[in-house]
Amino acid sequence: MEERRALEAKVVEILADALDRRPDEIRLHSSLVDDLGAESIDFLDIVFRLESAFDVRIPEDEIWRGSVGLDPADPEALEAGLAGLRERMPDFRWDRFPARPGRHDLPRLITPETIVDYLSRLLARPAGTAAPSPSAPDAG
Amino acid sequence: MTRRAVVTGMGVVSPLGSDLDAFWRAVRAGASAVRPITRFDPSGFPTRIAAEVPALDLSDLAGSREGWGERGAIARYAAVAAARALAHSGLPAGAEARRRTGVVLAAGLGTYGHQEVFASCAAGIAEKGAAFDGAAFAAALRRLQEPRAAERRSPAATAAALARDHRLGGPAMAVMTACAAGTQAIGDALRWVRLGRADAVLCVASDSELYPMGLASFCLLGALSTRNGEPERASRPFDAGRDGFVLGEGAGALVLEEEASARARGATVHAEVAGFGSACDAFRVTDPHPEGTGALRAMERALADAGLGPRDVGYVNAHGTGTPANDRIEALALRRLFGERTRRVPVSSTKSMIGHLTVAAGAVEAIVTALALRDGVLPPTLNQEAPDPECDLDTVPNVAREARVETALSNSFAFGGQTACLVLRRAAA
Amino acid sequence: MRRAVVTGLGAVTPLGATLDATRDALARGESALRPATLFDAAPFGEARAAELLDLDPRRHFRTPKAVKLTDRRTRFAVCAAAMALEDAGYPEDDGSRERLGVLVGTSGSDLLAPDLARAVGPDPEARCARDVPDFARKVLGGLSPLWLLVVLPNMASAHVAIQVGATGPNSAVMTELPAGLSAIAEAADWIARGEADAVLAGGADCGTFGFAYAAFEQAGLFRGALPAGGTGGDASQPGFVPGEGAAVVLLEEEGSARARGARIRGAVLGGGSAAGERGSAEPLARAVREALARGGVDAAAVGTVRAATILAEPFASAEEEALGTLLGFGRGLPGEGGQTSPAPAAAARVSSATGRAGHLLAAAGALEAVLLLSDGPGPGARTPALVCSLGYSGAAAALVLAPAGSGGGGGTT
Repeated sequence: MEERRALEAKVVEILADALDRRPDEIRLHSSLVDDLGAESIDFLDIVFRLESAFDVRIPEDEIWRGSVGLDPADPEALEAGLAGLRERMPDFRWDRFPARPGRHDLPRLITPETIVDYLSRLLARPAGTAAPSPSAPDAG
Repeated sequence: MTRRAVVTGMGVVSPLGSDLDAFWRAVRAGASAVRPITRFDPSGFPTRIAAEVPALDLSDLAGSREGWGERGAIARYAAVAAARALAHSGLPAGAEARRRTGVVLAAGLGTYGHQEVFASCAAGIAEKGAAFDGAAFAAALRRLQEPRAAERRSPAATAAALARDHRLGGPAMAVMTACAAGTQAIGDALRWVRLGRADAVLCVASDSELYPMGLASFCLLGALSTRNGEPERASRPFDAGRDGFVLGEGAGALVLEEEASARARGATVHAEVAGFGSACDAFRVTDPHPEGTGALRAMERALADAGLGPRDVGYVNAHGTGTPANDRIEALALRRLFGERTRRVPVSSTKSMIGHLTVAAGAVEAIVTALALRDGVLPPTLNQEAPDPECDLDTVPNVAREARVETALSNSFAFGGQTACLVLRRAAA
Repeated sequence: MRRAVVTGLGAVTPLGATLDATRDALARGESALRPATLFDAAPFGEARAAELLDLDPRRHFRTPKAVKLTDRRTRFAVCAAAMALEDAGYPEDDGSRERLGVLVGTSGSDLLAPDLARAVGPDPEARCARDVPDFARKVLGGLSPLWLLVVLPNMASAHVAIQVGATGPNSAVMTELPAGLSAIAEAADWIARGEADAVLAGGADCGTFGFAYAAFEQAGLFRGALPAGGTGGDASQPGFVPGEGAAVVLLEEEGSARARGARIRGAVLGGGSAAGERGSAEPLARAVREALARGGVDAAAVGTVRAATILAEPFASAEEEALGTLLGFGRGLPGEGGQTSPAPAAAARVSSATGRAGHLLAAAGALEAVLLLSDGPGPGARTPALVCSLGYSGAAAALVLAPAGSGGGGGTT
């Protein structure tokens, strides 16, 4: 648990730097896009900062595919994935999120918490193996 | 009385060749110039394809070749395209004849040698975590710097070389609005002709980002297609399977002339540049405005400048990069401009064939647009396989189409939110 | 004909973080030329630089998050533009700044060598310079993905527009040192043609980094430094000392400026530009002739001349030759610092801030224009004024202004 807290604190610090916010403005369930004003280049910047801080390699786009586990190219899986996310992220402002999201809407689902979840999986796995999909437990 | 500007000469240096007629034949045939990168070993990059300019045949090139090899690709491409456009125009030569001929150049960031930059930078870091050692960096740079560094990095030097080589006595300027710059340069030339600052203007746009750091800078932004296994299918603007743009390189040059003096000297008029519009999203640095407002404003302003409306437009040469966001937003802006008529206005992207010529794109695409109007042939958009419902346009899929069109738009948008649009009209017979 | 008038002035320079501070420093005879601190200058044969060190850019950014996307040049541009709007008392942004354009001139970009070095280093054998796959691995893993967006030269104009909400025409001039002055001249044409009702125009630049100094050294710009200040101040030879900063004016269409009761600092009568032989007087002469002709101003009527002089040969002599031939006078007594000394045409003087402020590169010509207009109507300012800039690669720009209160019709009478 302490490890998790430390990870959360570090992620919040990085996000605060990248998004020019005070750490206390950042809630674990804040949408990076809708609440914290992140634009597409901020995700690149955040990935770069996370990679440097944790000495990991985060494949392109995985910060949101990996962290929310949704593939916009697969409509059925998308629907199931969204249902799972609604359950796992009760504090997220779902009222602002479109019922039928396009590919460009998916980054709006990313929160500090989804990043922490993704990173803890990434840091836990042995080097060189693929990151497990976050939706795997639900699907399995 | 309104002074009009017409295109009397065109020259290209392109991945599909550097002879105007051959280039235009290839574009009409729907050829793709996208191939595996050969200029350097791209194996370490996620993107290993591009549209490279083949070796140039310079046998017909007059003018000074002083320091040719040291000038760098951008200046060389500019020189070749400019010389060919001037020859094509038949604009009388000599200082007196060209006293009122200006030059506008749009050129890329400049030419930096890989060795001079990176061996110097490497010298600045002694060990992991060490502070940057400016003295060591400086010593290495002084040793490794290639000749003519100031000139290679300055578009003004390239503009001055063009003015000198072709004895252009009119106004001179270099502009650089990144991927909108080629279009911007033509808009500036149009203004000069209309205001009477010049009777003719040589507009040149030239760029090459096909060097390791250039490729790296776009890879870092995740802007490029990674469809490495199928180069010719990688540049697919407006297609649902698009995954980024493909880098091209080259130059486009146009001679704009005041219509009455061009006709008086018996010049061949290929098209009229009838209007220009510039705007800025003033929103974000890379995300386009979600409503396509900047793109829409540029098109509306260009049409108003030409004294025309959306109903007059018969063809659009789109910015159409092939990135997910650009094409979706450009399509939205086109829908906002044309309304119910949208599906009836052919829209194609030259980038599907020659990739994105970055700073040079607008000039080469204006040339394609002028030729389309002149010859009544709309160039296709290649790789149209899976329509994207968010880009519901007639993209002239895969095959060129014959169509007599009176008025066309050519769009260019930049990182930073700068948007620019030209209105071209078919030349009066 | 729609005419452009100047209603707002903004500058951030090595002599001061505001226009007033810059003017005060010039009046006191101060010099900004000091040993460089931002980078190692000495190896390039010129240890001094004119650095702008006491500026807090965040104050002028509406969205401070954007600061991480800017280099020094872009920050200077945003600050000077915000100051020009404030100086003009331009109406608050109500989301309708569709007729406000932006045109910033700049000479080039800093590649941010320390960032590149940290990405590829340590690499004692400089393998990255020979082995492209090695380079790719290092730079893709170690360089901020924002790098290109920071260094692109059009970003100065883009960020100004984003920070002030200007959705009018937007472009960037890159004609080397004359770019900022050229930007003001071109922006006046935007207004003349009705493309915009107001434009933030000027120059923003930064020459305080190693790649710039290496290129300047190679081009011979640090050889044979010329004095600028014969009287008082720094007795050493200023020479061409690169600086950094920005100078921006707000141009407005005269009718709408008067309708809103704006204070009019002067009018743009005509602009000109040219390019030709490097180090020759001829491009500058052509640019000045064009500006005079477009302004309907006789060369003999020009009273005040300010030039962004390169204090190195052959450029200083080329400038002197062009102006002397056209205007019928020689270079004035140096040492005036930033102070314009208006004088009748026959005895007109050329003044320049470059000897004390350093050469602000593409911002230098725009700074001369801003200084000229901020002087206000002096006793001798009753004639049109000329501002010009000759670059080191053969480009030149000129601007003819009628300072408010002068005979050129720029006044409020």
